[in-house]
Amino acid sequence: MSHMIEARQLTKRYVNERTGREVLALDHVDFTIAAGEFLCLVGPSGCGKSTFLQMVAGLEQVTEGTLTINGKPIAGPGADRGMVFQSYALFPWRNVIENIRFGLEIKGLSKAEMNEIAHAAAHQVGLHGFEHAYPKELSGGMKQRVGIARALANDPPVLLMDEPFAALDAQTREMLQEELLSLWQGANRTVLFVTHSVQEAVYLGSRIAIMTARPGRIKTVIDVGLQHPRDITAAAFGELMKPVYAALKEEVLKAAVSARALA
Amino acid sequence: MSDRPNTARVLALGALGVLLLIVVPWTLAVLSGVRPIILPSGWQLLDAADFLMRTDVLLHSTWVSLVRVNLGFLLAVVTAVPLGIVLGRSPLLFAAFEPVVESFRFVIPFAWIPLAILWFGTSEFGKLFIIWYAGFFVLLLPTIEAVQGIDKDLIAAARTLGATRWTIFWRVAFPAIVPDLLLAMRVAFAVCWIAILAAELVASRAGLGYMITDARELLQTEVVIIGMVVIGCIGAIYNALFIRLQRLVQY
Repeated sequence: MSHMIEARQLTKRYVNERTGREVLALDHVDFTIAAGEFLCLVGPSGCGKSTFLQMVAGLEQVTEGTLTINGKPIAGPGADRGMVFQSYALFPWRNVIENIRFGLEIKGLSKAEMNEIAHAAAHQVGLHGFEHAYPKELSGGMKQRVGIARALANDPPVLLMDEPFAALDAQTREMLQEELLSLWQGANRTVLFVTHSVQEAVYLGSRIAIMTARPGRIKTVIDVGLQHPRDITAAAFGELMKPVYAALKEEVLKAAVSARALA
Repeated sequence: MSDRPNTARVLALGALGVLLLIVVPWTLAVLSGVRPIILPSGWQLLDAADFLMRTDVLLHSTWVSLVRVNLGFLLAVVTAVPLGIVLGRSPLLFAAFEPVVESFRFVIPFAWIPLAILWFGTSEFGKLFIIWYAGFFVLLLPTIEAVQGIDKDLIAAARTLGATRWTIFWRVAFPAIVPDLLLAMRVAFAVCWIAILAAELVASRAGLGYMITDARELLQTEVVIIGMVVIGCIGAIYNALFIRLQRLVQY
């Protein structure tokens, strides 16, 4: 199995602008993500899971250690890693197709090529009929569909998702989870998915990595042996959630204690 | 919006407002025997307006002032907006500029008249300087704030899609601040237009401001009032144009 993303002794420190204090966000993290796997990263708030994702995206610098994609060190953002944001981060002055097209414009494709790819991506995520709508006219679920299509239009081998469904209602979330799975299964794409929902992690992930309270390290990695489609009401599903819950709860309590100590 | 009154009703209400707030009190005052030099009657105003039109004074003054205000405003836009974008993106430069910006913006354009005369004499630059100054700070601070307020995730999204700094500037940062910029431009144009009076106190021989001050010295109250009315109407027209423009780019 080839390594898509590899972190070796990865450390991240930054200075909190408000307090002026140095924060150790990630502490010597060793971790690999295989090509084609769907990895869910869970952990208590502030544990550095989003920081890790942003470092893979190239939006945050590495302080110490190495972080590579396909064996090459990550120096900055690139079209080989698509990102989906919790806030959707759509360009409000562009309609659906124009949003999806953004990355293709940067690649310098011809107008015909761009429109063909953008329309195909829109169709793929169920945006048919909404091509010319503007973000403010769309529901949260539809906005995130645009966010996903925009990332996929570049056809990146790696898809980075930062709590993408956290702001959606339960039904929309379930629908998008299922659609995301079928998108992932259809293509040989590596997904790194940050979430704080254990159920979401067990439903989606091939593996689940649980992070410790700050400073963030990888506490345990759990293989999810279940086949897709998974039944969240099945006993086996519940059994898998238990160890993830237990590990996460321990860290959430630790985070709460250290937050109280700081306050 | 469905509860917005229709155009005809808006116009009717506006006309009613002018009638009740201006025409009626004015007529009452004239009928009660106020001297024309304090408040001329409507007929005297029309008479004076007719004279100003026939002698081309009004159109020429208006034209001169419009050219000045547009040039001065344009200068303010092309200087304040780029500087505002740079200051909005660089906390260090912002810290360096802040004391100057925060103090100068309280010095009104009128206060610059003596220096403008000393520095630029009777040339056109003195007038442009006053108008530019009036608009500059009104544009600069909102531009800085607009840039500082750009959604960080939009920039991050553009970067993960492969955008370079230049692309981010033109295709993300700039469109993101355009609505704020238009609002600032609307306010700034109003301030520039108000400052035309100050600007044309700087050794002028033409313009609406000059027409008003000249008429004041000659006790031609009608001409003063006509100048005021024209300034007010042109201001309202520009305001309406900016509002239209703002509506076009409401995201």
